[in-house]
Formats: sequence, structure tokens, C-alpha cells
Amino acid sequence: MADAPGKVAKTSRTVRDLMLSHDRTKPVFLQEPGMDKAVSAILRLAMEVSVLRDRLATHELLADRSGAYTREEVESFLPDRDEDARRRAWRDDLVERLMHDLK
Amino acid sequence: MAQRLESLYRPTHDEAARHGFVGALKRHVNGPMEHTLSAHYDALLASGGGVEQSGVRLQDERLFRLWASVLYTSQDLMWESLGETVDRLNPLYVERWRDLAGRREKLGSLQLDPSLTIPEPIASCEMHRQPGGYCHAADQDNLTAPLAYFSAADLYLSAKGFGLGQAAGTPAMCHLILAAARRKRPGLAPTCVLDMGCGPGTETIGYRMAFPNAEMHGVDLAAPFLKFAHLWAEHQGQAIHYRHANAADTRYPAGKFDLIVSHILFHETSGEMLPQILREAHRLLAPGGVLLNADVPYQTLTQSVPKRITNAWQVDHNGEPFWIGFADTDVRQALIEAGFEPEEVFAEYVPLGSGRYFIFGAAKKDG
Repeated sequence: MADAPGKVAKTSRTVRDLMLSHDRTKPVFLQEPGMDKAVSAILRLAMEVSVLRDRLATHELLADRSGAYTREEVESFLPDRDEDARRRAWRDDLVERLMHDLK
Repeated sequence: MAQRLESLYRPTHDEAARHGFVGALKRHVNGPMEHTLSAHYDALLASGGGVEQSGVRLQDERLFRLWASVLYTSQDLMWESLGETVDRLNPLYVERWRDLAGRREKLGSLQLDPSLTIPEPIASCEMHRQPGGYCHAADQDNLTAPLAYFSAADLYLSAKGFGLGQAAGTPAMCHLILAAARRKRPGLAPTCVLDMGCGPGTETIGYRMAFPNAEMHGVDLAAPFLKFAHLWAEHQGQAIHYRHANAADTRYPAGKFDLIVSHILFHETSGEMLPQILREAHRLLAPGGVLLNADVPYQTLTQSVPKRITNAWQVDHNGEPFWIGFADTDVRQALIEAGFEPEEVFAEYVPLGSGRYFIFGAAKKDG
């Protein structure tokens, strides 16, 4: 994909590959160098923060309703090996997308 | 028992949260941010800038540039976050499509035409910057194009607070058009209805349900959309006949339909195609039949200068190639030139949510 991103658009089966093709590079609107890319990155971060907030709100609501666990249990939680791997993969993906915005 | 098709479209918790954020971002950009631009323009005008110069200066302001930068990214984030859902669900829909394609008994029908010439701007423009455009992967078993469109419609309706608690794809805009149709023709009971530019067919089902005794047809240029529409209709037990055709040249016999409708077809076509579509609609209507189109309410002469400027930006940067062309078209005159009698032609605004929508069309004279 990295060799000929422009060509991916023609044959790709996924929206994700189409989004990463070079012909979708954001034009320059703001006069400060790099600021358009910064705007993209910031808005992406804001989106992910918003997702986290929603998810936490769901969990807290459900925990409250069911009495399944307490806030103290959340504070002292340690991920196991699988959960840790999942989280690292998610972070790598976020960093990759962020760098795509900034580059 | 397989899961119902209507319930297959189900964003995960985080996907839904992303869609919700994008909806909020778009509401802000299109609402308060545009209002601030408008107030800024008024201030430039009040300081003696003159109409033209104030418009030029507005576009040079940092605020305008920031609006553009945020709006552009909001569209990217929209397609990216919807794409996550679409890429995950596409194989499930394709599986259903293959099941249907192999089935002998169907309520309606689908006629695809691989030799159909796709006109501009549909052929090469990514409308609304939808990745790949409407005809992406038309030669494959791939429903990402209609699913992306379908999911964007759901995101917009949800962001506006419409359709809360309703499944994605529930007919919505058809009610506006049906209400207008009933005002024009009280007691309207068509026997044969055509939806031009039917897209994924979610509204076509609404017309079919409103007139269950009528024969229902839909045409569109995008083969992937028609596959989705056919699948959608068959799974909902609705007999609808879809044809892959240009609305300007449908190949149906003259006088076949007594109601022809369209929704946001005309601002996505071209200046050359618009009169051809209206002439074809006139040919297809039976005497006494009605043509009704709903589209964006941005007719240039009714728009403020800042709104004209932001609309022009949409044309340049947001995949809206004929938005301005349509906004500048005198649709009454175009309908008359297509063969409708002047006294049978109408073009009006109707209220929709906190705004309004544009409805235009004509009745074909009896006898």
C-alpha cells in the first residue's frame, strides 16, 4: 500500500484504504505553516476523548445499576497479559493515525 | 433464523460514540461557527467595506480559514468513523446479497446494465467526498458505497435529533414529499410510481408503503446502490422494481407513471442533465400525473452573501459540484421548457425542522 497509495483507491475494498490514499490530502486553508494538520490531529484527539468519556459513562452507569463493582476496584485494576496487548495495539493504532494527520 | 437485515446496521459502542462526536462537530461548524462568520461579514459591511470587498475580506479572515479547516476535517472524520462501521459490516451485507442473488422467487426485481454510461459529475466526482464515490467497486460484490451513504444519512438524522429510537434506514424525507403531493392532489392514489435517483432505496420503501396498491419503481446510476436497494426492499417484503438507468433516459414507455418523485437528485446532477431529466419526467407522466422533487433550499437570490460564500466553498472543497449550478437554475422556467404548462408548475419552500426545504415540480395537464 505504501508503494502506490494513489492506486489503492481504484482497487481497494475498504473505506479505510480509500481514506489513506494520497489524493485525499487536506488542502491548506490556514496561513500558519502546518496548522491545518494540527487542526486535524487535535480534532481526532478530541473525538477519541469524547469516545472514552461516553464509554466510561456507560460503564459507570451499568456498574451503578448492577452494583457489579466499585470505584476503588477500578482504581486498583491491573490488566492481564492479553488485555495489556490489546491496549498496546490500540495505542499504536492511535499514534499511527495521528502521525498520518501530522506528516 | 438469520438476523433481520434492518438490525444488521448496528455501530458498536465506540463507533456510535465517534459518529456522535462527528455529528456534534458538524452541528457546531454549520451552526454557531457559520453564524459567527455571518456576523463578521455584517461588521465588515458596516465599516464601509462594500458588498463585494467585504466578501473578499471575509474569506481572508483567520476565522473563515479556521471554519474551512475544521469543516474539511469534520468530513474526513465522518467518512473515517463511518468507514470503520462500514468495513466491518460490508461482508455481512455482501453475504445477504449473494443469498438473494441466488434466490429464484423475488417480490420485486433488479435490472443492472453493465454497459450504462455514467455521466459526470457522478462518474468521477466523490460526491460529498465519499471515499470512492457512489459507483465504487460497481463490478464487485461490494456494498461499501451504499453502506457509507446509508450510514452518513443516519449520522445526519441522529445529529439533528431526528429518528431517535428508530432503526437506521427508516423512511424520513419521503413524508415531506408525500405531504406536498397530497396538498397538490388531495386524495392522490397513484397506480404507478417512479423514484428518480433512488440511491439506497430507503425512501423508495416509504412511497411503496404510502401507496401499497401502486406499482413501485426506482432508477439510479449507481449499481452498488441498486443492489443495496433491492436487498433492502426484498428483506422488508416490499415489491419494488429497480432499474439501472439514467433518469434522463429511463427506457420506460411514455405515460407509464402517475407520480414521479425525487429527493436531492437535482443538485447532484449537471446543468446539461437537469433539463433532460425534466423532459424525460414529462414524457413518463400520464396525463394528470404529478412530478415532485425535494432539494436543498439554497437558491442563490434568497441567500445572504456569507451563505453564498460558504456554499461556494462547499462546491470547491466538499464534493458538491452542482450545488451552485442548481441554486442558480430557474426551475420553473426549466419545467416549462420541459413541456409542462406554466399554470401547472410550482416551486416553493416548506418548513423542515428549524429550517426549510425546497419543493418543485408540476402536474401534467389532463387530456
